[in-house]
Amino acid sequence: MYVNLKRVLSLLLLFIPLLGFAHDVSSTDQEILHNGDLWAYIRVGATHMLTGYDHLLFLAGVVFYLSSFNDILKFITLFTIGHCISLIGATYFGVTANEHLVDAVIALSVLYKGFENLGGFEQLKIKSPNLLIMVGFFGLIHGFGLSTRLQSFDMGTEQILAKILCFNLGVEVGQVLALLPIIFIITLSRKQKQFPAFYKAVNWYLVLAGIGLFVYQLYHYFIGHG
Amino acid sequence: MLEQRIKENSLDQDAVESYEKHIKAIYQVGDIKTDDWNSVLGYPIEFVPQANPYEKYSGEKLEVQLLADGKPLSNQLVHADYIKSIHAHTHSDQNHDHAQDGKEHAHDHAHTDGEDNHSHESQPKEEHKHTSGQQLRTNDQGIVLVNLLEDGIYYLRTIHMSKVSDNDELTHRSKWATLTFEVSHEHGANTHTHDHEEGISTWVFVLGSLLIIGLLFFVFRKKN
Repeated sequence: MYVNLKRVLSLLLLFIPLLGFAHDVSSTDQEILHNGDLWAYIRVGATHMLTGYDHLLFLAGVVFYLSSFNDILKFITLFTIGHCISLIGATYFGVTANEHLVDAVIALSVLYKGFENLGGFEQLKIKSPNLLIMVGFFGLIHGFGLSTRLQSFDMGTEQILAKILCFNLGVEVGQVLALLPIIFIITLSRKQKQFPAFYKAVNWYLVLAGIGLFVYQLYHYFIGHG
Repeated sequence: MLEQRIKENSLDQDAVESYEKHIKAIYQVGDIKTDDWNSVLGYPIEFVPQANPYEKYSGEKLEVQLLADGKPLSNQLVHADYIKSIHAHTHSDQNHDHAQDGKEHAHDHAHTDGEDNHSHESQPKEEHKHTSGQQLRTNDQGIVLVNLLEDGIYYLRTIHMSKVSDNDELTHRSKWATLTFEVSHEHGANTHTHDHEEGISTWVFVLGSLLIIGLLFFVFRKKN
């Protein structure tokens, strides 16, 4: 039980960045963007990354699977390149889609990562897709999700590219802030005897959360169209 | 009224007008919308929206009823104009039909009173320059349909002029009404909501997540 409590406390640490932004940020974000300069875009970008459960869950899933720091760096860099391309490109060219549908696909990425980490493909005797390609692909999807969010705000007509880049920079700052405790806790947990149970528990949770978020987004998509 | 005066050949006679202006502005802030927008304040002349203007978005239309002494005022010219918001969205694909052209329609209706223009003796209405925007005319229920073309602060106004026969000093009496409200655009495709922030409370999500992970951990540890 001691270990269990320790794990729970560790996870609480993991979510501290989230708790810090547990406000209704959307209603204030537009005002921040209206009244602020480019710094406001950095701030809102970081906030959205830190309050976006789906992005963080996916990242946690990616980090969980990797044990060496080099691998983590490689995969996170790829994920970052992926989401930068779609975030900047889609926003600049005004490509958008229904936010709920994009978020539903992002939820599937969380489900996918949990499933893969649990060895789901091996159990189904299916060759799992190339990890790097999948992380890069999901990076594109996550970036598109961030782009639809950014495009839902009035950005004015001036300095559009600078605003997008600043929002992107904010996303990266948020990602680093979120990754630090995630990597720290996961690395720490690897040394524990109960790591296999913890690994299973978190990845099963990712599967469940992915399904839950997917259903939630689809529900809101259909309600919105009803 | 001008038509009537032309008909009666009384344009060269002096007119003394008393006027009263009744203004109304609707403000709503925050996410919770109240029903105050449909309050009838009981003015001698008053606009009453038929839907909450703050739940309407640019590109849509809003029905507004005009009441005079509590009763719908039909066939009354109403001007609807707006100033753009700073971050206005234009709905260029909208067909900006004006429902009616008040000036032209004025010829078709022989009213003894109820004319719209607050013309003074030497000031023909063509010289009035503050008649930009939509010119609408109320239907039998006193309702006009206002096109909310883009984001902005909308301003409806009308002047109801009538002849006065029971007063030695006055020849005409006019009642002015205005209605002001702001319209913004709808965010995103369909109902854009920031679900991460508004849909699921962060606390519920985090505590729920911790609970699930804790339970799963307990189960898997026992299994091992």
